Amino acid sequence: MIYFDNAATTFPKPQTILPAVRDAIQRYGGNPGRSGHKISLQTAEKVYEARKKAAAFFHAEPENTVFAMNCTHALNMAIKGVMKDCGHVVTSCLEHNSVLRPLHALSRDGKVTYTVADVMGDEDEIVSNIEREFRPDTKAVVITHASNVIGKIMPVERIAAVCRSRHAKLVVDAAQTAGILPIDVQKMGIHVLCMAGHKGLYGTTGTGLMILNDIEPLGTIMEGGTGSVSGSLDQPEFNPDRYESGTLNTCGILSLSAGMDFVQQKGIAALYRHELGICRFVHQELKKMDGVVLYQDEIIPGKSAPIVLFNVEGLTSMETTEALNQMGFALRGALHCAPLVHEKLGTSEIGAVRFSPGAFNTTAQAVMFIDRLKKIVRNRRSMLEIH
Amino acid sequence: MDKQLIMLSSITYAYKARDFLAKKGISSYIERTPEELKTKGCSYSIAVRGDADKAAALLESARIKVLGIIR
Repeated sequence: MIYFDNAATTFPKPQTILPAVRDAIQRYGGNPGRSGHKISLQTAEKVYEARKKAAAFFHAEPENTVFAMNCTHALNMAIKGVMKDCGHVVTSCLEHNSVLRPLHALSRDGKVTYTVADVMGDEDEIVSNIEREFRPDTKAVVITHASNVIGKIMPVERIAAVCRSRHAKLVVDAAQTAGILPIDVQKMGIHVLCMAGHKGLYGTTGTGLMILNDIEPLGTIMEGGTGSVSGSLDQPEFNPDRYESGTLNTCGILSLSAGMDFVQQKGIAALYRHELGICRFVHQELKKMDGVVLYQDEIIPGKSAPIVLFNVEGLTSMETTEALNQMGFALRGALHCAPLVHEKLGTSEIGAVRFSPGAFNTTAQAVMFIDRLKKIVRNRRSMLEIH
Repeated sequence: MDKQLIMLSSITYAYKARDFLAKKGISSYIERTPEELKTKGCSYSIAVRGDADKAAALLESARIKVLGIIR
């Protein structure tokens, strides 16, 4: 099976993840930050090393680097935490349900209102459309760094400038860009950066990060034991304890630490170049094929995350992905949990097929993929007759 | 010289403090704050040999909150 579904989670993982997880089970089995014995302290030290590494990755302080279960968890903490005192949010039509559903839930409860800005145009239009949606009570902009459907990269620094001038907070969803594009929360003016640990950072599933920068304590969505100020019933005000109640996922955190080492060794720029190169090849080949619909005009370095979105004429996205599955290729169809962008693309009914390579994919695999897809396109009429 | 404990709010700050002091040439190690000395429940401390006041002042200058010094 050849895996081209890395936007969902990267697979395979680097070989170094296995010993990291094994060590977490065999050597670092204490509860970090809870006890004073050697096993607990050794485990806590490994967790701190991972925290420091992640902080350096995104130019943050270690204590402002919060471990989460996944990007959705991080986004829920960020959105509900920033909006603790109610108000209005500007978001975009490219967002994943990990942003849209928390906003919808807050809105349904009457706590928050939100507006969806159209960000399908060029950078000037994106910035101007976001700014146009601001209201006197706008407290935050919540926006993806790059779409998980069409790979479009948002002009985060320009959006941050708008937020600064309007005294609003900027929450960025970096699910598709962490480990692929350089992110500096300080230079880019991001107040809360959320990401998965199991995608471009190559940790195991069940890992995520929330990075805080220049922001007062957020409201919490979960309270509990933190191993600090235990005599008080109030949740600690200081980071990361405020957001990390309960025992941490040491196995996941140590895998994430090894994953970040892998990304550092390969280099973010090299990984991006590699994956985007494969996407550009696939996009060019698909462009030449009759019977294929593409949803991106071009795959542009610096403007696109490594994703190609397409459909085979006459087939739903799920029919195409199932045919590819039968031929040994793993791709994702349907709506990718991002319904608004599919509305914009006119693909709400049939979805679309997403091709997303990772560090371990090769151009040779992409050539095989194109070859098999050509067969599907050629045979689609008979497939339709069978159906 | 006897060890002195600098109390910090959490394990994360304890490791941050230890790394920061190491860069300043002051070695330390982490201990759980002894039960009888805790003021608001659980916390961690770094044990230093030498001038704990100077170490604590350095930590405060780096915005690492010191909860107290146990001599």
